[in-house]
Amino acid sequence: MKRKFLVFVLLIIVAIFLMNAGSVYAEKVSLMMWGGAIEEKEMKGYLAAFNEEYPDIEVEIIRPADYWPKLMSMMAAGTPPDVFYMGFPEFVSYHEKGAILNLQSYINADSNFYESDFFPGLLGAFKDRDTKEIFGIPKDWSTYVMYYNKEMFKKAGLPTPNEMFGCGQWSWQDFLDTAKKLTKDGVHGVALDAGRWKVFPPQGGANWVQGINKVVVDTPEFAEAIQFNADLWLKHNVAPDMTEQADQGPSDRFAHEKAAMYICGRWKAMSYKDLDFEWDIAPLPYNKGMYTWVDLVAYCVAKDSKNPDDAYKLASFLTGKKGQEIMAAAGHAIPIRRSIAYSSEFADVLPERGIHNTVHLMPYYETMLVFNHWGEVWTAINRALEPVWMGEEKAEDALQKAQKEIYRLMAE
Amino acid sequence: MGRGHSPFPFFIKFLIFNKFPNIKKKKRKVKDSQMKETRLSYKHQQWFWGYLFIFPAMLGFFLFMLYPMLSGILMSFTKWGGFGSQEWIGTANYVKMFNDKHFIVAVWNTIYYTLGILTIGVPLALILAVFLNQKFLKGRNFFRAIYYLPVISMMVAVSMLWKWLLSTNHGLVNYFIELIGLPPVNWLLDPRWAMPGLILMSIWKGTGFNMVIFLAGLQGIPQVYYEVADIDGANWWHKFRHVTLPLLSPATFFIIITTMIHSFQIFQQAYIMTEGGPQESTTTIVYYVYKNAFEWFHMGYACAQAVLLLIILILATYVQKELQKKWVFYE
Amino acid sequence: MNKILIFCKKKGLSWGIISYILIIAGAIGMLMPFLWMISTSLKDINQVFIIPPKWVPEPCHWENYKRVFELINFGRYYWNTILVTTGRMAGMFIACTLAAYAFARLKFPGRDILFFLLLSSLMLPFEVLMVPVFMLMKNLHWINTYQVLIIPHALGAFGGAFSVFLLKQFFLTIPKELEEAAIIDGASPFRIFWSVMLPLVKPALAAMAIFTFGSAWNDFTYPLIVTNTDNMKVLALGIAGFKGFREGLTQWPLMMAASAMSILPIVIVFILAQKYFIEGVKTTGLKG
Repeated sequence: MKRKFLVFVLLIIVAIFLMNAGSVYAEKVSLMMWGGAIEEKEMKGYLAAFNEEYPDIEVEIIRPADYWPKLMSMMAAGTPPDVFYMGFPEFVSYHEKGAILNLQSYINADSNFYESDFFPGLLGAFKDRDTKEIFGIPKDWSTYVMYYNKEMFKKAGLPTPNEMFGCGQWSWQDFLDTAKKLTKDGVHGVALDAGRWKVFPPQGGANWVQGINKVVVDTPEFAEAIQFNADLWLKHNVAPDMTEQADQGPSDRFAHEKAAMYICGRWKAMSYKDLDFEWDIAPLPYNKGMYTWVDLVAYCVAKDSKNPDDAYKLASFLTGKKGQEIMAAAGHAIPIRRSIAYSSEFADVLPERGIHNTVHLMPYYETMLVFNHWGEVWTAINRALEPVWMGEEKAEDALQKAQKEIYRLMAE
Repeated sequence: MGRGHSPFPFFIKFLIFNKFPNIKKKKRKVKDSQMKETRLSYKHQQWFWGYLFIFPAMLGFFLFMLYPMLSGILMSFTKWGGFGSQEWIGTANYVKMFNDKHFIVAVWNTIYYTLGILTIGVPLALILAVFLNQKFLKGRNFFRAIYYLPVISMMVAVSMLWKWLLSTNHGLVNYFIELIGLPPVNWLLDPRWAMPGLILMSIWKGTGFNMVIFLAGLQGIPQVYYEVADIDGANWWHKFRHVTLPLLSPATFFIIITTMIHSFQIFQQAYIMTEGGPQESTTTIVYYVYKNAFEWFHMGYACAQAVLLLIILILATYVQKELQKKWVFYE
Repeated sequence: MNKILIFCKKKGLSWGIISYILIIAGAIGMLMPFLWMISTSLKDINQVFIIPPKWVPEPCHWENYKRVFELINFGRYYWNTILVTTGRMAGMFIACTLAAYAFARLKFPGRDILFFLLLSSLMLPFEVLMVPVFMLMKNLHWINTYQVLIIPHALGAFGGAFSVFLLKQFFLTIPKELEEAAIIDGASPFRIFWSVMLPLVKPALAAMAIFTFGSAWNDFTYPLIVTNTDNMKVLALGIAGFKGFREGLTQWPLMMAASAMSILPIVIVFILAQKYFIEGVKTTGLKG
């Protein structure tokens, strides 16, 4: 009896091993991405187009439920994915550790690259700081924009933010006045998440990232910008306060017409395509300068990749003219190539909506704000600002505490 | 087993039985393998069977857990970003840890959380188990399954629900609080109340788990003890205090230790519900470890923190093991 | 009904009613997340976060359940999870119970140290083990396979110590006389284990079955690290796949629908385990 049992157990173990019929180590190019199920489906569509041009290259998608731990463990073990998504802040750390492949030689040999077609400044975020060689090719980008409810503006008889911006009358004060006029009957003039404060300081003239190791937040301009943000709900009552934000997020408030304006990334536009009111996109207001935050993602090739040539072909196709055309139609983010971004493929996404899909593309920062200890510095600043949003502390005091912490972090 | 230590008389018996196989067959119920082992003393037989029985589990441990655990411990003595080059820095991480006020806060938060769970959650689980063990209850199993549901629900769904429940203006919890005349609590936005809110949610989510174990313990208590107590005229409190609790103590010991180990490593709730805030009030040790390891490229430092957690738990468990002689009652 | 009347007469009618009321009230509280999940799963994505929250959505989007299968490889994840869970449970049932008995009742050198070592495997958070585990599995060429998902856990690694400890405690409560009687009868330790000890800890075995099933079924972080491709994902990974990279892009209704579909087996196993293991105890006439 015991012998039969042992044989049975052995058979099961063998069966387990045999179940892995398909080999995992075939010669494929692995592409690691983040996003939801829909994005993966769309990526498969792009890969189908890729395979029309390169039928011999098989691409395998890895979409982990938690991106960075997975990427890190694969790199630590020496089996990184061939091509992977990389955000501009994380790029600095990964590049420092030598995990990313230098693509400059491939690009020099690639006659279809057209570096000038890329939006200026964005490619630079993935160049080595000293040699200026390209290590990652940006795939698309997103800015923060002002969504607004056209119908509410019409009913209140106010000019739209686009019109005001066109006339040069979209300063912080204009924005605040507009919001006040629109705050009535249980509707807020504007809704924004507390975490979106990062658009305001540069608009207020605060030059807070002065070097890879120099982050200065305890300036009067920075404090004024933060206080302006907090006062939207603390003083002027034009925006939902922290408790109200926790109950119903600003994005849902805008979607349910509880807020006339909403500051968010342009990437939210596709989720709003089925809303049953007229809305549009406008640039953010300005004060002492024009600024909007930029989110930027690139394709990088791993240094330890086993198929660097194929990996480069994949990355360059997806960021090339053809790939960008297909991605533009999906409408999630702004194409990285100017020719595509201003073409009808992208500008006319959501044609029924008639939204100004490219109007906000002008006011953005030349250099991306990057600095060391990225995650920890943001955590320190956000933590210090929490009492400011609750109205329990003034911005200047909170920022002084944050600055102390930043000095400590940079000194490590 | 139970044979004499000297093999000599046995040898003679062996010869006799071989020649006269009919003698004393009914005592020879032992299997073939026993014939070989009966040469060994009882003590050594126990060794053989002991090692044999723990072999699969220890194989699993040595093959799959020892290397990662030792790696983790060794990594704590390095400066490492998670991949790329490692640099041996000895105990520098540990020194940094004791001077890091964020880490100290995390340790206090974790202790606070664990005490909350142990003092409220465990007795609650016991009460639930007692309630759901009563014989007259129809559909006991059905109710038990319902009380177990939160344990297996996805944390994402649970946190969605509890963010609403703990909402300052619209939440059910504040509704009941205001009903009894107390002022509403700004649960998830007030640093003083965020952790209690988290504890509340965790108790609600995890009680079913301990309840199932208590139930198993209760079901293992022979009815005869209760009947004897009845005869002696004991009321329900006496029965509970002098029959149930002592006989339940092995299970209780288990629950206290495992709840402590589990609570000290709490992470999901803090990560999904409150993101360690507000004002770090819900930053737990493992939350801080995760941040350091995967978002701030301080893997070596994170490992040092984890090792400290390991040491705390080992000490706490050891103390409990010694204390068990005083209150845990094995038959 | 008779039992209830007798019981109520013994303890007083009020006790029975109070008991019932409390238990039902508690049960409603415990059911809330599940009801919330179902409610959300039937909503349109824009209706998920309105205040005050609506419990019954109108209209009910039953097609969300179908959409889950269209968007992700849900059937495959389900199948994978079934395989992995049964494999792990079968292995743990052997490895953990045997070890628990040995630690409880057999004497051999190093017993307590080895047990403590095993217990300590529960004390290091998996977050710091993730990277070395990946490296180990990669060196075994086990990444993205079924054996990596089943065999370590089947041998009691990554949490099996919990079951060993649980059963050890319950084995320790069994009176030694029963074992000694079996020894006198000439039974080998395996026989004692199988025929005497195991049946006497059936409630604990039921508990163990429930936990190991639940934790294997909902396992997230370990499969995240050791699997790469979509066809090897388990349910927890698949469901988390509905989360968009940014807040506001998560497909809440679909996520909740998938969640609701994946909870059902655990509930079934719970009820079966309670019924099979515990009702069985009554017939031995020894306990209960």
